[in-house]
Amino acid sequence: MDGKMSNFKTLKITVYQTIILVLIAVVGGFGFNQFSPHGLKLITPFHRVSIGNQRLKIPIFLSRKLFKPQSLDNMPHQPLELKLNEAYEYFQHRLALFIDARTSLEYNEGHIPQAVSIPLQSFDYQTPILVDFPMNQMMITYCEGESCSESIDLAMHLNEIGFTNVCIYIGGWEEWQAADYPVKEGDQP
Amino acid sequence: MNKAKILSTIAIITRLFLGFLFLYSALDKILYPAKFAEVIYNYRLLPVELLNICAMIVPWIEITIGITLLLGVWVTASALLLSGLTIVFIGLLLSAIVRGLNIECGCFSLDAEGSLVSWKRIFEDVLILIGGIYLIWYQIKKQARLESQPPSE
Repeated sequence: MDGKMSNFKTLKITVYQTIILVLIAVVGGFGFNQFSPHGLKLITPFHRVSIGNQRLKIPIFLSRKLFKPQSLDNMPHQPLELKLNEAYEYFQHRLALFIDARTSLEYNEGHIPQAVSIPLQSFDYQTPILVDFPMNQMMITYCEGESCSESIDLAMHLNEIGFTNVCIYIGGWEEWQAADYPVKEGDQP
Repeated sequence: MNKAKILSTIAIITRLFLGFLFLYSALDKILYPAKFAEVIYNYRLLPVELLNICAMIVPWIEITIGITLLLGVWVTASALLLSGLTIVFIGLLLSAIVRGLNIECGCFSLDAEGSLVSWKRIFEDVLILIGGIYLIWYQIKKQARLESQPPSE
């Protein structure tokens, strides 16, 4: 009987300790996130995307700091041209939303991971992807390569409708692929 | 070396190894939380809104496990938490394989090249689970032995 009681007591203590460890992790996680320069928003921000009849929620994986308008105040409002290494830097650190300006077919065959598809020919000012985005959202447009102009046109359109932080990755898909950087196939970002 | 000594040595090595492993696993996830949130998203199991919260807490559970195992404090509770977490990881990996997802595992580091979801990752997790269960078993046995010993005075 004593042995059973003792086992029960040990189990009870172990369960309490486990709960305390989880609580420490929760407090540690939230606390660290609050002060970390890479801290995230508590609820993952997302934008709604329509693909066929489906309405999808695509999360935006950005540091919380980028959602503070003041941190982007000094950025130029005219579209900037980015080189391969700069675009890759933004990609690596998830600092911008990549926008593929090519056709849906080309996008499905391969695109920069996390890039959303806004084919220039189907762009209108009500494009669902753009709804809910902060106007200072860092965006990088690209198309096939140096010879195409869809990325530039799309960047100008985005600029016209008020997005203040749009860049163009001129080298585009061809250069990105040639550099052996990550790629993704299919209709998902 | 008698049997008790061998079991104790295995327990110490397992505890230290798993402690270091869990601390190492947490490092990348804490440094790049947005990337880890994306890794979780790719499993397509969690509601989008909860991705960030999960990315904030999971690495800290790993850190808590790592530190307690290294220090030898609350080892049973820590090994219990480790085993539970590892069972969840194995479930996630299995579900990804069943659904044919070719995604980054996010197991020990966030390096996409070397850590895609695979049976090898599941095998590694099973080994970790065995380590965790061994620690729990050893701690319970040790506790029972201590209690069965008559007081020294």
